[in-house]
Amino acid sequence: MKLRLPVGLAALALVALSVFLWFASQLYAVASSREVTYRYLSEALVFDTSSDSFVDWREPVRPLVRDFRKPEEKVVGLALTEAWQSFSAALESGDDRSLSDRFSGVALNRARQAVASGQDVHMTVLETRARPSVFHWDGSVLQVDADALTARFVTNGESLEFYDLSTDRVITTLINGSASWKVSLHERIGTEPVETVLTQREIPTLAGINYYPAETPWTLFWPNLDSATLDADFARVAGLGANSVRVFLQRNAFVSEERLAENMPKLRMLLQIAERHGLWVVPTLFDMRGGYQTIYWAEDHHSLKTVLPVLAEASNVAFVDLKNEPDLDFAHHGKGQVEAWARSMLAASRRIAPDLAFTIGWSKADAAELLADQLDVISYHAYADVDGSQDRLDSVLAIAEQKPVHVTEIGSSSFEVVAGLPGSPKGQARALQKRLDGLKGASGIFVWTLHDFPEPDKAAIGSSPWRLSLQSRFGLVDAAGQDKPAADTVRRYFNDFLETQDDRKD
Amino acid sequence: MTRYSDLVQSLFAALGVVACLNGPASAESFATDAFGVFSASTETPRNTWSGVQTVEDGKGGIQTRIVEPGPVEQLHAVNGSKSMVAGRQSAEFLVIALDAWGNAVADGTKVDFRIETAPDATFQTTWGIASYLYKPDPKSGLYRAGARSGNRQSARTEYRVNPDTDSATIPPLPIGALSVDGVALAKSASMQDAYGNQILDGTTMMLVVSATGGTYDLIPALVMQGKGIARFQTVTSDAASVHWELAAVRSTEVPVLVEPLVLEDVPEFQAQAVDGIAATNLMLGPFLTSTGYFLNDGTEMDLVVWRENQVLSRHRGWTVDGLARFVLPLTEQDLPVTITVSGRFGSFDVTLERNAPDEVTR
Repeated sequence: MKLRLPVGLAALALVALSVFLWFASQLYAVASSREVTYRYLSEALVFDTSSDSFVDWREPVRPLVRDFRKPEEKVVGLALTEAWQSFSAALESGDDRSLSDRFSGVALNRARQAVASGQDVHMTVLETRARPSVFHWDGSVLQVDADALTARFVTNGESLEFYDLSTDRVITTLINGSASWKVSLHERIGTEPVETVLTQREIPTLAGINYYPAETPWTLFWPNLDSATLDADFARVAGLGANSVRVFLQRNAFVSEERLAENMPKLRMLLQIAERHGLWVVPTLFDMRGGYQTIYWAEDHHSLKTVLPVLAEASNVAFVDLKNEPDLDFAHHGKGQVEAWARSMLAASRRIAPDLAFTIGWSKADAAELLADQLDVISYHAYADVDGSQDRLDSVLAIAEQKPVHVTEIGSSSFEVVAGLPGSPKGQARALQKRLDGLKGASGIFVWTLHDFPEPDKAAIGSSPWRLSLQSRFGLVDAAGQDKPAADTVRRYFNDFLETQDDRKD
Repeated sequence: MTRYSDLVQSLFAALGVVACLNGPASAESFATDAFGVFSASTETPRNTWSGVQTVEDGKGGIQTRIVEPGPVEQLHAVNGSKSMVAGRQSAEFLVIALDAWGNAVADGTKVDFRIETAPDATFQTTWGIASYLYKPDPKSGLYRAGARSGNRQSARTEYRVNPDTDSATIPPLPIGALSVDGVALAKSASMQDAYGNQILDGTTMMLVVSATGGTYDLIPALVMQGKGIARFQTVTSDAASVHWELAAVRSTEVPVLVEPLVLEDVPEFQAQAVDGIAATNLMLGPFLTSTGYFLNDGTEMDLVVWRENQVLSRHRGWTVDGLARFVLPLTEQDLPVTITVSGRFGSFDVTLERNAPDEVTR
């Protein structure tokens, strides 16, 4: 008894200290991050529109009275783009004051009436293919005959009440006013719904690693990407028995012309290096996306038009993850708005790259039912209570019917404060083993992540010291470059997993 | 007549499927048009907006309906260019034809164009627009144009036809004798373009005064009452000819005579030894012309200092504010000397003598 009392008191003190430290770190996080109203900075910049034109011009069918040349294409294309962006923004905000900058006459009147019909109504033009049909002799009137990929939807709190994505044929008449071109008349003369056709592509069984380099994770990844690091890290991934990597394309790194020009060659390089190491790649698009406001959708579509053809060309892209954990955005942006965005981007992606397979990496199994009919692969992340892993997977398998189900993130932190709390390298290995054992029936499993991160990106994780500490120790490889015990666990499991899958195929 | 007649069939076929959402059916039925989504179950002005609308049929399907435009109610006229060059330029009279609700009228709606100096014409609308590309008669002036469809008229527009200055002829008039430093007035005869249009008042021209040495002066000129007029000061004594320039048109050369410069009188002078050095300051002037003005600043003159038929030194100088100043390498021991001053005003001699009144002769 004399010995047990001090031990008990010491344990109690340790627990109390841990609790105190946890509360202190939370308080510090709150005190040092008053900006957490927004998950990402871009969420606060509602009207931060692009200055790119998203209009593709075609030759006129008949000769025009006045030549419509490249400078006019750029100016009018920008005016049309901005007109529909301002209309989208006005619909969502209910504020129609900006409409008169880009609309006039009958079109302005109609746009205002549409805005007045309610803030739950949305419309946005993702892409316009236009052909000038009338260009007045003095350059003051332009009429275009255009195909406009247009999304319309109605949200009602949590739900999406109505959704339509169609290619509209529209006739738009613009007047060159004293300040700029303005849409004066706009009429839809035809519409064709965009139908979803799933790919017939065979999806490989994947045992994979979510990948960021140790020193340059998240927003530092694309600006600092180098072939030597990729080569070494992908060799290490293959050495773990994995046959795939899941990588992340931050939206901001692949949205503007400038960033696309900078990063598309790097994306090609990454795909080639992965191929050299026999790895499939699961690119995850629109990572760290800000808002889902329709004003940004044309930019997103433009990004897809640039990125997807490169992914489709590569022989080692297993499937494309459209968005990482969009269900975490439901609370902030509304489930209906997020769903409408995902539906639109999926449909647009299939028009651009019909042979690619698509998934959405839901953060929880509960969300996997959403859009299941639109996806080729159902995927979710398994961080919930380990005891229910198999049940949750089974429920997702039931939803997926015959489609493959991939668990694209599992992981456990080895961050240790004291005495194996809250985690430890050995505890991490045990937790991963238990998780893996509860995922029988999955067609793919990806571990988060290859490396421990000495400095996790606050832009992605937030500024909570507790979360940063946990996130810094999810790797299979520690900061010194040594395999942690979990690496062996994963290596053994992946070898068995891929062998078993091969046997089943045979 | 309907712009939709050949589209209806294909639209109904295509619109069999619009993405239908899972989950409980909404109680509200929605319709779509060019400006988004609206409730199909309530009366709305949007039902008057022409074009293709889709409507939920309440059974999970989508129906298409087409709202046709009404008859012409408004004609919006755009006529341009507003200002044309006679015989060279064309213009387009474009009309946007709308019904009472602001819809572009049905294709094939006839629009009659009335243009004051071009043939009348009738064109049909396509997507609400009818247009007439016309070339007006080459007679300059301000004219009117308008359009009519049914019993509706457009607002009246105006257009201007300007003379074609590039085809103008410039008949120069002789210029009387000019005097240096005098103000001269040059005129052309009335100018017309190739179509007989008088060149417009206020048009800018140029009078070019060419000198025998190859130099020339550009004098801005204006058209007044159809004639070129330039007022200028004659600064050169060797002008040989003038011609007019209007846009790319150049008149023939007209020879001019510039009367030689005559000084009103032989200028006075002052000579004064410079203390400390072997030099003399010489100031000539004022140089006054016969018309009572100072010689222009910068009028050059040459000085030759000589004595007993022997040239002692030569100098070049010019007038400033009517005076010319020189520093001559002369001391009292060098006197007497004669200084010959020559320029475009002629020449005269100045005699400097020791302790005697100086003397000037011409």
